[in-house]
Amino acid sequence: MAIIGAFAHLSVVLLLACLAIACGTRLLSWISLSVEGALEAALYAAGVFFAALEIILFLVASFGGLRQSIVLVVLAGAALLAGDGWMQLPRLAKIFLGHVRRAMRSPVTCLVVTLIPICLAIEGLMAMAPLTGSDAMHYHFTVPMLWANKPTEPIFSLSYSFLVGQGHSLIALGMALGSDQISLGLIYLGGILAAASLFVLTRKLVSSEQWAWAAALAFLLTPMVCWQMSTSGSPDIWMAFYTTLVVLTAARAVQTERRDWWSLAGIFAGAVAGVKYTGWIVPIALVVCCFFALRSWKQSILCGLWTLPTGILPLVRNAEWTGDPFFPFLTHWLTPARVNAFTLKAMVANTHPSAFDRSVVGMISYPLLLALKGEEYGIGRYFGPLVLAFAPLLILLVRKGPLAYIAAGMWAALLLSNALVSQEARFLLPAFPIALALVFCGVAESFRKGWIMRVGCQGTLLLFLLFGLGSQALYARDFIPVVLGLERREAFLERMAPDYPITAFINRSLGGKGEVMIFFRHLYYLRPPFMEGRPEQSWLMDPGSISNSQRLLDFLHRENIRWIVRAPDYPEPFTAAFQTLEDEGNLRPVFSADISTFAGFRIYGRKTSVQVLILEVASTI
Amino acid sequence: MALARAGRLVVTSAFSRDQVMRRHQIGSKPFSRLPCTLDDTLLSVEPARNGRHEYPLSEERVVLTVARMDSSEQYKGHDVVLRALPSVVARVPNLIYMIAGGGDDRCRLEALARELGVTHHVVFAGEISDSELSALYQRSEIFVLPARTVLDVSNPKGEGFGIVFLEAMAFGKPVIGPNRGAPVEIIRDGENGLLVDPEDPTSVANALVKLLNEPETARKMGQAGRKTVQTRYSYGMFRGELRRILAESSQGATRLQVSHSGENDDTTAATIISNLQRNSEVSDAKTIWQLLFLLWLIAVNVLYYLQFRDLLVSRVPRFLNLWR
Repeated sequence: MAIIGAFAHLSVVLLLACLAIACGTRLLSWISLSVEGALEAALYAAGVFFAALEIILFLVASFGGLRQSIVLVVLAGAALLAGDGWMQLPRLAKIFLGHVRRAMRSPVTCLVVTLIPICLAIEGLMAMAPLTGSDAMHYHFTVPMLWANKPTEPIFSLSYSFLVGQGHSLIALGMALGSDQISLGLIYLGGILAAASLFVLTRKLVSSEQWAWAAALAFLLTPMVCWQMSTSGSPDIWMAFYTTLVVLTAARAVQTERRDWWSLAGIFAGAVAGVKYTGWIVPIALVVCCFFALRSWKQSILCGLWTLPTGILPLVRNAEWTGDPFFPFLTHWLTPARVNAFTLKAMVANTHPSAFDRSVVGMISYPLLLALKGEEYGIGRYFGPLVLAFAPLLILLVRKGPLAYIAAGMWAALLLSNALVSQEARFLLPAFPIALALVFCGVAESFRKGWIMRVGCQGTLLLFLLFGLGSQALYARDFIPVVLGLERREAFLERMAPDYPITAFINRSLGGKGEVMIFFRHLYYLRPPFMEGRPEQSWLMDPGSISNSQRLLDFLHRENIRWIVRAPDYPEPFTAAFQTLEDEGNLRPVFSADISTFAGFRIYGRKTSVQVLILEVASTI
Repeated sequence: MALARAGRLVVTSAFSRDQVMRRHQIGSKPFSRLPCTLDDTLLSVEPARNGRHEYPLSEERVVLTVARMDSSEQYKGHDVVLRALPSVVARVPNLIYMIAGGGDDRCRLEALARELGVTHHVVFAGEISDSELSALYQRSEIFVLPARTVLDVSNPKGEGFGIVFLEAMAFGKPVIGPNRGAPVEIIRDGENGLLVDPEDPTSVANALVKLLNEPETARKMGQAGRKTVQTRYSYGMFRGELRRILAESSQGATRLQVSHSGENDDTTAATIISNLQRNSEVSDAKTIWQLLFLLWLIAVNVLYYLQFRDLLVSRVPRFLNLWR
């Protein structure tokens, strides 16, 4: 049954992809933008459709909640709107099969093209496993779930809720259609579209489909990509797709001298920013690129304005709720009276890895070390070694034309801003397809330079291929059994979802009776109404104002908190206050259990036993 | 200098050989002729569905030129075709002349078209992608490039080979080329194309009208052109010839200089000189750089994969155990 459910959910995603291409084609035809390559045209169509859909869903969700009936009406309207856009699909399939047939002529390309569907199948199945991604269980999925019921209320107890952008509308879409598996499937679709856009970009740069296939395979085998598009539950992979489209459309704008393409590039750049704050560097880079190409501030600003519809809505929402569009990062300047210094400091620190160093040496060494010392730079090692290893070959791309220059410029802008602001390597995911396309272009050039280069590049690629396949098999092993129905969902979640055993204990013990304060990170499967109690995550838990046990008790009463879950421990700034409440009898132990859960990153598989104690707050007894 | 050091010179055409000999007075060197071959990826590129090739309506008849429009390359002969156009349009009113390629000489040519009153019959397609080029070749009826040849010893100009003729022939199009210079070695007058006086617009006009008014002749010439490419300029022929030259060169212990003057060549001599970078010093330096790059790859790979030793130690046994 589980496997049938997985296929059913993937079928819904496939249907949405077809709808996106059909409807997007129609939308593009209205603005008279035509592209000669069918695959490229389909990608633009999908990009336009999903960017538009995100706007509609975000607005609907913000005003009335995203109900299933509304979503179905929106999708039915899109299906009708698509009109003769549906006719594009058989043609696209035919052309795509032509690409595949051509690739099959060479044994090496044949191997590459055979591995791609295998890779996609594994990742697709992994995506159909129940949600276990850490950030997703913290806020990517939790917040859309909470907003489905109360769309107009900010969630100050979960500060990361303000980082939820337009890209999360697709997660909400899946949930509204009845299953978070569809949401995960849509994230997986983002990965496929990113791989396809990388294929198109590489083919344009290298004029060879062999290298384009190879780049797409390398992308799909990269552990970071595999994780992001299958089990992470984060919509970041959509940023990679949109960023690649920005590069392709900007290059078209330069080559064709048509301003419509700049507008489309602006729409895609806005969509990047709409997923996450860090994506705003893409519209900025695009505007600079537009200025260099047209030498006109007016046109560049116009191009920048096109980014607003697809990117600005989360900022408007945050500004309305908090006065700070980039809440909480500008609160110090915009609304200083509302600052929770402790939480703000913790959130800023959380966006910096342990090795963050903005000195000249730090800035120079960051691009070199982000893959080689990835543990210290935002898990950068999961990007693989290819970009760094082949980076010297970029010198061979001189005089490769506007597409290569725009791609290199966008990559440089993202890398530089990332090095300056956070040095969290995983935030570089949007630039990854561009970087891969460029280095593969360099590799293609190097193959003409002699056997030494050829052997070196082939060896590196082969090694990475084996590493990618091996690591994917290792990783998939934990997820596939539940999708195939060989493992029960509950047992899988107990085994793989961080904090799930604690959550399950709370659900069993409390049911839905009263609001509970918790001090752990992974909230998605928690059923009673809850409030995050860790001050590094909750804007409400301000150690400055809740300075003693009496104030804490008042706070708990004011927020109608009935239960406190002490697991693993009380947060440091409030330990004494909670302990006093316990000693005074204001918190009374009700349920207790020793539960095994993950210690540190799940990937290392280390577990530890935690004592979970549920206490009842005095005045509500 | 480099020419003097070379033991053998490889040229793409007899015309190129004559130019090198004349300009550099190196008649004693052994020469080998190795014509360019056609990169057949252009033929496999999916033709563009939309784009510049769609500007002409279906009933319009398209004549195509594919060449840069640089002011330093005015010898390409766009202006000669433009000057021939009024007389052709008078006899074939639905004619469209398409020019693919960019360059700083475009303004001059656009002005010339305005001056001649043929603006509505000329489309400047600009720089285009391979797929658009493929579509343009397919859409066109005739390919024309009456490139002039300037035999000035200090600054010679002309086609060193003319690979665009091969491209057009590969698409089965009859070609019109100059009756002097390297293209003469590719085009057989009356068989796979027509040779014209590149200085004489009337000659170009007559050739265009002849092919436009005699579609059967044009079709036969197109077929003959395709056969010419398949038999004389195939990659197999090129490879065999190159192998033969290399074998001869190694037997004679001579230093080989391969000159590939293709569509980018201004002059044969300039091409020879620019291609003479493969002398032994450069090769040595390149080898050093390649070895350094190889060392870099080894270092990156070793340092990268070493990071995962702990993870592998913890995961692999569990993985193997779970699969049992």
